[in-house]
Amino acid sequence: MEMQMDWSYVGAVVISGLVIVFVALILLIAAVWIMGKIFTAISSKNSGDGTKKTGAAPQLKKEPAPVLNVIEEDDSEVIAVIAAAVAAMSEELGQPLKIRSIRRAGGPSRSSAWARAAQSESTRAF
Amino acid sequence: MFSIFSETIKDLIASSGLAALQWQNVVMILISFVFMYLAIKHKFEPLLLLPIAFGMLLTNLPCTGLYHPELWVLDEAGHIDFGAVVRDGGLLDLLYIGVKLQIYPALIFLGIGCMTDFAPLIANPKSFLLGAAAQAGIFLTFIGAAALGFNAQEAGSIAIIGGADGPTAIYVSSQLLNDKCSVSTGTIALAAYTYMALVPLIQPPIMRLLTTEKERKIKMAQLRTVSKTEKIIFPIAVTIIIALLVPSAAPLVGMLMLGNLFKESGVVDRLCKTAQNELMNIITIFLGISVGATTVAQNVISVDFLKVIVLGVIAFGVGTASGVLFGKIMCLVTGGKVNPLIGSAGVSAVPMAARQSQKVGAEADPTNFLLMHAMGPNVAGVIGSAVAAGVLLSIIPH
Repeated sequence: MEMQMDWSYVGAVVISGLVIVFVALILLIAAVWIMGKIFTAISSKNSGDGTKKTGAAPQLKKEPAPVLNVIEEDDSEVIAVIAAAVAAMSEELGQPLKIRSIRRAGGPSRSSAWARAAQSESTRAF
Repeated sequence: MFSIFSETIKDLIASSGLAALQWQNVVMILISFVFMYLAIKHKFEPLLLLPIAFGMLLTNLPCTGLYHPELWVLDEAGHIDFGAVVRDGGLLDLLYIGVKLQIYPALIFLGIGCMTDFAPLIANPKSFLLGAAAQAGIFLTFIGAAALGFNAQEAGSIAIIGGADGPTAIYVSSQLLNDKCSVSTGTIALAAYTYMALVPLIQPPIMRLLTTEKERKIKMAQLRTVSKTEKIIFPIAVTIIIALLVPSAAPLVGMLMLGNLFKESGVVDRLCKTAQNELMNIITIFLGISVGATTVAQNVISVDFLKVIVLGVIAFGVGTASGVLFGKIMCLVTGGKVNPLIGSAGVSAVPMAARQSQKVGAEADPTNFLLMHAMGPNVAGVIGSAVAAGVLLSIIPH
């Protein structure tokens, strides 16, 4: 069972190993890509049918208010969390702490703190 | 009366473990203390490293009869006499049957499948390429092991450490290694789990070295939403394709995908909870303690053990570097739409490797969130290392 190796055998293992792994995963890419295309087409077809039936899409475009509401809600949520954390820290230190300003470090596309916490929780080590 | 008493004491000492204790056993017991310390104090993969280290302690205490290496010697036909193991074996011999018969690693994969979300991979199937590229660490380490004089079975077992997947490393090494080999499954498992715990130390310097500041700042487009039907079809499709192409990878990939189908179907919650909790915990205990038992002093205290340690870290490093370099190629081809840092997550080690991509990316730009993008190559790495394991098992005679 014990097998000493010559370099042609080592080369064969390395090349065939890498080729088989790549071929297997490329086949999976093709399968998943085709599946994705089919389901994207089905979902876009379904959503297209939905707008035809309701006919109310143009009116929705004129109302940006809900988007603004969401942003305000997110900000107040973050401010409340920061304020609570600072209050707890203030109590612990026995010194009054004051929040002078809260500035967002990134652009508006960032996910909320809660979403990031959920991501971190769902991907923790098992 | 006194002479009977002294004879009894002499007999007791002669038959005790103290009389049979050799310096090699003492060294191994001290090494087991080091691994216990790392698991308890520094939380180095404690779920497996702690039972492995305790198995190491038990097997090196003489005269306990828990594990008998001589029972695992191959006969003239190249088979293990499992009848003798059942008849004469100790507790750890009996538990080790589950490793030798490929039962435990496959059942661990069932639990992992129940906990894995393949949505980032389905949303961005190109991630599979990064999962494949990172497996280069396995095959390039095979060359290093051959250069250091290891035989094919030993080289394959050492190389699989680069897959950064503990159950896969145990699965391959328990099949390839035999009593004539200079390394044991326990040695491979210890190296694999130690390096997996050291991912936050090993990967970031390589990632920073191979990427520019500009590349690390690349923000990737948000992933599309994946439907439930796609998530259900995915495990079935992967099982069929992989089992047809690399049948020897079917036990690992099949169990991984069965667990995932349990999760995504949503109709077998009880099975899913059992597989990822009670079953996986029980198997982890059996796997850890019995694999630890294979680290008998004669198998471990040698120059070859040091070579395994060095080759293991090289395997991890090369896997990380290959993933990042392939990520750079994808960045170039897509016109800067792929951040090369997600390539390092292709080495498996879920989710620690993906977290390193997130961490190094956030160092360059705190508003860059790569975690979900890195989860794609990360779970692709699990499939990739299982396929690589199947390839090694089918190419190397055992």
